[in-house]
Amino acid sequence: MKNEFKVIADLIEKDKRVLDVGCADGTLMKFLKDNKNINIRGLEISKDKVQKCIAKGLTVIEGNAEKDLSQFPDKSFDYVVLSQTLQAFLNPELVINELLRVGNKAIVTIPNFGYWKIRLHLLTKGTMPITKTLPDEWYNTPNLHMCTIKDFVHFVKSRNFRIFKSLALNNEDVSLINNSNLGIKNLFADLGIFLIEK
Amino acid sequence: MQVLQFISNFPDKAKTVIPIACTSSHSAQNIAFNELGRQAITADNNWNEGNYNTKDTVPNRGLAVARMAAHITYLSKKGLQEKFGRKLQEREDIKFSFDADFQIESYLRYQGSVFVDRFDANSYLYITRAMDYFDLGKQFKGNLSDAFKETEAKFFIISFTSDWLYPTQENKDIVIALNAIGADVGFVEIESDKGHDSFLLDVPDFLNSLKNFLDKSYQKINYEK
Repeated sequence: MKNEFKVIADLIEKDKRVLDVGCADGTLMKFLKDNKNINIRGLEISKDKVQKCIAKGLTVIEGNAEKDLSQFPDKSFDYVVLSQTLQAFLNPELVINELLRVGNKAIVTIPNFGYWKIRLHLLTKGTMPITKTLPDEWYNTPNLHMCTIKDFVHFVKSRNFRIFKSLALNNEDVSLINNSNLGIKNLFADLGIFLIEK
Repeated sequence: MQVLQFISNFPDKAKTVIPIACTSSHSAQNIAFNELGRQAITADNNWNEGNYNTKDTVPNRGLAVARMAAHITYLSKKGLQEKFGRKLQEREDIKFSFDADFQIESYLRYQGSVFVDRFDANSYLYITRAMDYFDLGKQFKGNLSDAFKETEAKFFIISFTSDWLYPTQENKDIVIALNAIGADVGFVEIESDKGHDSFLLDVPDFLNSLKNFLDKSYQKINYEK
């Protein structure tokens, strides 16, 4: 299991109710269910991936977060997880609002467009950056709204959401983000992980 | 539909519930097609106000027409087009008659004719009426969620992309009602151009998800024992 998922799992206490939005093949769901006794549900847009989750005995609903989160009542989960998907939505702001309506807290991870390799790629090559976390070409990427760790922190603050924890990930390396090191983390982290509440 | 009523009436009698290509109540279109079938039967003189068992003749023509209309709703436009298109039935050209020129006509007539051998016209009237009257939400003052609030069963709802009899949205409404009360509900829409009939046919994605779900549920039930 990738390091990002381990970090997310560490943020969630045992025996909670969790919704994994864009749960893909259910790797994180299965881990949370087996290791933390989490009552876990998934929402996934890809039929193939829904099939994989069913084969693992996971409860998954085929659907699109932008439309189908609305079916869940307010605060019906302790945590809602959104892993590296925010940038692929037509309306990320709406999705964040929905996550925070449906869950008491949301865990959102974003691929950091401020990562130094991305900046260097754009600066030296002058073409759209391609990295391990952002492997697609500009013409076939599902990503519509790329942002940096700094952008996301600014956005969350501007909406008066509370940030409980901000973590920077660079391969195996996990570190805390705070106000004083935001610029540095925005340069050296590949991924940002945020635990937020409305 | 029956599975929904069963689990509502007997909430602790099942561990898993798999409503496939169904609805919690008939739409106006569903009722319309059923009414067409009923009218075909009652317009057949042999129906005789339902007392055809006292005579030697049965309303087979009406029942066959009812079946033909219903059969169309079980298929999809794409499926029909691919299977039949405008292909002619054992002839080189159209015959300018009301004989079955097109293969689809012959197919429907055949479906109608075999149906009358295994189905009773009055039964058809009552069963379609029962389906039209069925409205699970109404039994709970319009709140479908309440129909399921006593059960801890695990639900798995399956719809098919080309099913226009019980379209995905009507299946999803059941998912929504279950999510509203935090029930354990999974949902998948299976890609198929075979219409409502997909649930009877060899559609690999459908059969695999069904098998996987049942395997996992069975393992879990055994484990809990």
